[in-house]
Amino acid sequence: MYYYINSAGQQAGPVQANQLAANGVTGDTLVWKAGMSQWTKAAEVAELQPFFFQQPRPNYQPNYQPQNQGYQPQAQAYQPQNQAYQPQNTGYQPQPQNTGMIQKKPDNNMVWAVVCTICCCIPLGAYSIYCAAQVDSAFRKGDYAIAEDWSRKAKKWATWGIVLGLIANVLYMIIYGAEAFSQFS
Amino acid sequence: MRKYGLWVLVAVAVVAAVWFYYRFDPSQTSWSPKCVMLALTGYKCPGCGTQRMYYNLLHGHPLKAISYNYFAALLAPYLLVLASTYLAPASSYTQWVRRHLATRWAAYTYAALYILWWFLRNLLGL
Repeated sequence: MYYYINSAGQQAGPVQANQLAANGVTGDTLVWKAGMSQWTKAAEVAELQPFFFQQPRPNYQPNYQPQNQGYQPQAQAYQPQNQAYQPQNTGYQPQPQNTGMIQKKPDNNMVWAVVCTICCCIPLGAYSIYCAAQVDSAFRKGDYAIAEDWSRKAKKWATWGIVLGLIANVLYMIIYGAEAFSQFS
Repeated sequence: MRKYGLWVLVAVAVVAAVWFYYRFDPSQTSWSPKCVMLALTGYKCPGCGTQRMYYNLLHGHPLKAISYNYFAALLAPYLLVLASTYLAPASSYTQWVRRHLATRWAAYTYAALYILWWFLRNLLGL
């Protein structure tokens, strides 16, 4: 039997562990029962883990994202009376930058990586291809910041590969071309 | 403004490359860069032959051009379409092309074909 702090900031209960959620308790709500040394967030109480486990971040696809405006449908269904309490449910919520707007997949920049592998610098181009593939994977998991990061990396290493390859080729042309030219004349 | 600079850069590079590969036969002149891998190991890299490919393409021998590097010939249309989205103004078309052509599966497929081609050309002498 747990006591909890309700949305008005007052002690309530006691209720059974499996009834906490139905009473508006979330992972961030402070709960206490006899034997506990202090009030603890529900998600941090071992016995309550099955009820308040940290949900993995949902797999947001751009086309269904707008439905999830900041809180999850089932959380809303559990606690219609506790609207004011919801902003504290950070454990349940997607990252603030993900809410309410459609995320655009970052460009994976693979065209530069391809150019790099075919004519300039194979090792840097290969790494850049790898980075380009990671953009999609991260985006599908909903890790937008990480996807952006892979996108930047793909572009950065392909660009370096192309620049280094061009420098090497121009040096080659100057050195060997000039040598051949001097022999010729 | 950035797009304008990119255009100028691409235009200069294309004109320079067309002039160079029309004027010089890469297999005859020592001006054209040689493959480091071929020089060091005796094995062709996946890009070997692209310079001779340009030369023959510019001199009106498309079939001979393709025979120098089948992989680059296969890749060229894909690259041209994808690269055009960086030069064209952003639109739903450029977005569509990049969303469907520049995916992780494209990256995996490219990597697999690249390695396959690398082995095949050295084993079969392509």
